[in-house]
Amino acid sequence: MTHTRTSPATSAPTPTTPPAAPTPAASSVPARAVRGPAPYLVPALLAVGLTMYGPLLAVTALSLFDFNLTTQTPRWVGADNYREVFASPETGTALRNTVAYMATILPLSVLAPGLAAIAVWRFGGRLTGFYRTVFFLPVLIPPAVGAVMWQWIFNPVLGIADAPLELLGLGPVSWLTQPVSAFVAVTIVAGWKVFGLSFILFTAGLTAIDANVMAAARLDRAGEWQLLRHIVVPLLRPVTTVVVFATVVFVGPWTFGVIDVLTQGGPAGATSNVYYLLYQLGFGYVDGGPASALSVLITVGFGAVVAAQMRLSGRRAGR
Amino acid sequence: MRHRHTASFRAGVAAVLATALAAVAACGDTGTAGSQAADEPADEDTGDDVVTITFESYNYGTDGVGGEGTQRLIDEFEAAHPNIRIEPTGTPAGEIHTSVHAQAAAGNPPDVAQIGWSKFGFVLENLPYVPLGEVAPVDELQAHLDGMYPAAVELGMHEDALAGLAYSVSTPTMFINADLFAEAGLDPQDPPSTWAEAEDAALAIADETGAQGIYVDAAGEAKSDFLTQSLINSNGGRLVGDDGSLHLDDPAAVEALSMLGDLTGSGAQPAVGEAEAIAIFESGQLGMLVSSTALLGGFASSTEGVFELETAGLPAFDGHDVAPTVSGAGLFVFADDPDKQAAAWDFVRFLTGDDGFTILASVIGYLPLRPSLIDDPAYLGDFFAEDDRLLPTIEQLDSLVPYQVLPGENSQQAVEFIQDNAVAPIMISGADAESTLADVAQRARELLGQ
Amino acid sequence: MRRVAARAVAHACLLLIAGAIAFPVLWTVVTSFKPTSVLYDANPFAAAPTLDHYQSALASLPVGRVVLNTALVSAAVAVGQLALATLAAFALTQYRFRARPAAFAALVGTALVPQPALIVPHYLMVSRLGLLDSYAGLVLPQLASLALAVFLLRQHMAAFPDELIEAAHVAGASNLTILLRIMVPNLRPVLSAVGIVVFIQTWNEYLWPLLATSGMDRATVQVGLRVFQTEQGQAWGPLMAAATLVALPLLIGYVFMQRRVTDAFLRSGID
Repeated sequence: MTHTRTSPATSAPTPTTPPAAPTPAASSVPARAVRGPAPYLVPALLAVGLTMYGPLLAVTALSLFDFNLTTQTPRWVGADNYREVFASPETGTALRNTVAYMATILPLSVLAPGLAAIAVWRFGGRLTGFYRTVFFLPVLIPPAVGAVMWQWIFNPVLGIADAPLELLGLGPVSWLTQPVSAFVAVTIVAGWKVFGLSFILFTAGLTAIDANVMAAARLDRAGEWQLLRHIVVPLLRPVTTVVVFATVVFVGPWTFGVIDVLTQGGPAGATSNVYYLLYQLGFGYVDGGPASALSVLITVGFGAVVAAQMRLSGRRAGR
Repeated sequence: MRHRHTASFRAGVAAVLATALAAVAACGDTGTAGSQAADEPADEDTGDDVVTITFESYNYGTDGVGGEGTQRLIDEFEAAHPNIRIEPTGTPAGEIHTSVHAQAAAGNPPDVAQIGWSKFGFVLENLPYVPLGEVAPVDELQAHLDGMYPAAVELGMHEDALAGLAYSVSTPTMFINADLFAEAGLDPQDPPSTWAEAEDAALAIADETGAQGIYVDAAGEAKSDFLTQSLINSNGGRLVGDDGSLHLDDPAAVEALSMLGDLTGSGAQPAVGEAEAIAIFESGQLGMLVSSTALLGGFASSTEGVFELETAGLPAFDGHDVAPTVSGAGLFVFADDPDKQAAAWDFVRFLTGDDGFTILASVIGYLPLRPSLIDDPAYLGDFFAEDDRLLPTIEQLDSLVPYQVLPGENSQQAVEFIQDNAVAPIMISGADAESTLADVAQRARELLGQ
Repeated sequence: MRRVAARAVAHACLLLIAGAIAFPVLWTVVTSFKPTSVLYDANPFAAAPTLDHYQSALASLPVGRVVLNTALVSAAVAVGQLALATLAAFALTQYRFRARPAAFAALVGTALVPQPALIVPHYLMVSRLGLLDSYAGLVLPQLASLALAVFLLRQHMAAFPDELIEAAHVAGASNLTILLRIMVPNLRPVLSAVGIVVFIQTWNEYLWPLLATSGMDRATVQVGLRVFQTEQGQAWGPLMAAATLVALPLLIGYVFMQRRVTDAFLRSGID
């Protein structure tokens, strides 16, 4: 595939066109021409080494020490930090919440925007631009700012967030005080934020669908439904993979800002996630050892999920 | 079409490059300058004898009276001391101890910092503070402290040395919506003085006006633990024993905290969180809010035109005297250079002196910790003649009990754990006080290594 | 007939979603103009609008400064990532060398490491370098999430017509010239797409600026808004005004750039 196409040029330092004899031009390559891949590659490798893999090794090492991030000399404690993290009920709650956020936000970030994108694509008409603008809006509003806006909506005095519930016959809810409703509130705001990104990605996927294919199918008297099922949905599969991937990547950092503004992880940890717990351990309690241990565990877990996802989508693409 | 596109793309790239260059230039700037001070060299180089000290504060730069009052304190100090310049930084209250910590590790702590009493344990354990006895001349310090409430001075004592000095201090108070009181046939000038009376009044308000009755702001995670302590103390209990042991599950504490649950259970108190209760109060839909006096300054302006705001002291438990403690912060000195230490002492002396507490009380609403100021027309006399809403809590100051710090390096974690897992569930979700406190005390002891 | 019905249902649903999405923003703007005494009145027209909250917000928050800080940091991260990834992708497609698969894996493998998990070592590193509260300190740790950029650019460069490159070599162009003069101009769509995605991602970053800045000098928008959470309570009116003010430049920018931003996603060939 892609590698073979590059082969003619890859034998540089003195680039040649393989079948032809060296041309005069080839020998007149300026002396200052770059002679190997190193100068191109080293900056990026240095960057990821210094700010990604280096810190990863550092935090792994630090997870075996007790330290307060600054003044104390680190003290070797072996696996104690891991034991502490595993023993703490907060870790379990945060982990469960992280998974639960993923599970509740995925429909808001995959299913709903997918359907919305298809609807706009098929029926948008003159309102297409309007929908695209409005749906994309929250992507540009930073999570903590969006959370502040929503906090005002969840305010029980105005009761605005209760109005839809009262239509369903459900009483007023003190949104941010009760564990379940606080979790729902964070999910709503995070979903509000990711919806637009997925919508645009799906729209991108839909525009790539060849109009001719659709026209041909329609000539075959395929109904709207059949078009959707047999042509559109299968063609959207690669985009869906990207959307799921983007959700997994963004949901953690974006819910962090929402949690910090709305609930600070409460009530009793009901809305905390692993990143928020990490922030509390490391920077609220300056308890560096357990924080580092948690970092390592998060990285292992996250890496495993993403790797599994890549493998899965790779297999599907290869089929 | 295509050309236009290219041109606009180039313009875009140029703009991005320009911003990037600006960013790089700015980075270089900070890299060489090292500190913000170098950004404004003009003022600094005016004379060799000008000392600049840094001041990290959680009020500085914030919106509203807290920021305004702090700015005024700095301005007046600089006007009175032309040879000292204050370089302030604003950091949220919940992060100021870690911020100082990080700067201290880099060898550059702020010269003076305002750090909350709930972080006092952390300060003693982790931060390189300089006891005030080492920066101030002995007689000067003694004279300065003599004019303050002894309980306020006691707050900053650690092992017979004054680690920090009480500065922005507040204590529990009961905010009253006088309009709702009148509507319910109650007299706002004769507010409830015990919890039983408060519950009756709250139920009357709920029945007569349809508004909410009372909210006791004890369940918040970050700042409410002083109210938890105040309640336990006022019922004859205490959170920490002389040996540092935790007494959260003693009968006095259980009884004090079950009162919170009873209020909710009877319908006198709405089952909402701290921020929501404040919002309900500000909107005129809550009769009484028991919280920190620090909120007074904000309420004074936010309730103007909504309802008439009155205050009262912390209600008492039947058969006990109130024994409130304080929230708020002290000033800690970290300067190690003798000149800066001298300047830092001048600054601390001003902030906690007659002029300082006059501004703190009249502009922001913190407690004037010098009793002589209260009736003195040169200081707060006129202010209190016009606005007496801080007075009920000032009368309380004589019964003040020092804030208790949980021992050990996990103290902060334990405080939040107790607030989140005991006080909030008992008060809001109807958890049983006795069993919940027993469980939580058990786990908190583990956290504290007891 | 059925198509008309389907269209009507679709628009009804879409308008409902649009309303739900836009409502918090609109309500924020409405609230920002309400005088304090009617702040909690659900009726948006309870009293004549006022600019008081804007005055107060501007007095407390250097809006221009925090917006500029956020824009500078986001632009620097976007340009930095693009530069690093373009060079790397060039090496990965135009050279064949033994370590190539390993280098590719190292760069794309950054997708496996969640950046927020590294706050402890990042904080230690940046504070040791004395870069807390500086633009460099804000930008550096965010440079390394190169996976997306490298992956997409490599894909596009690999698909670049060989004939063009060969012709340039024949004409005596150096590799660097080929990259800068021939490939980069032709990869504009994907470059701008990646740039915009990284810009938006950095714009939304909250945790790192929270840790790496103090005070307002280098604060980003989200960190700056915290001046309204005071010890005297949350200042809702000014907070709503400030939220409106910081969102404004972005929304105006987006309205003008909407085509480009959307196109960037449409043309990036992310599928």
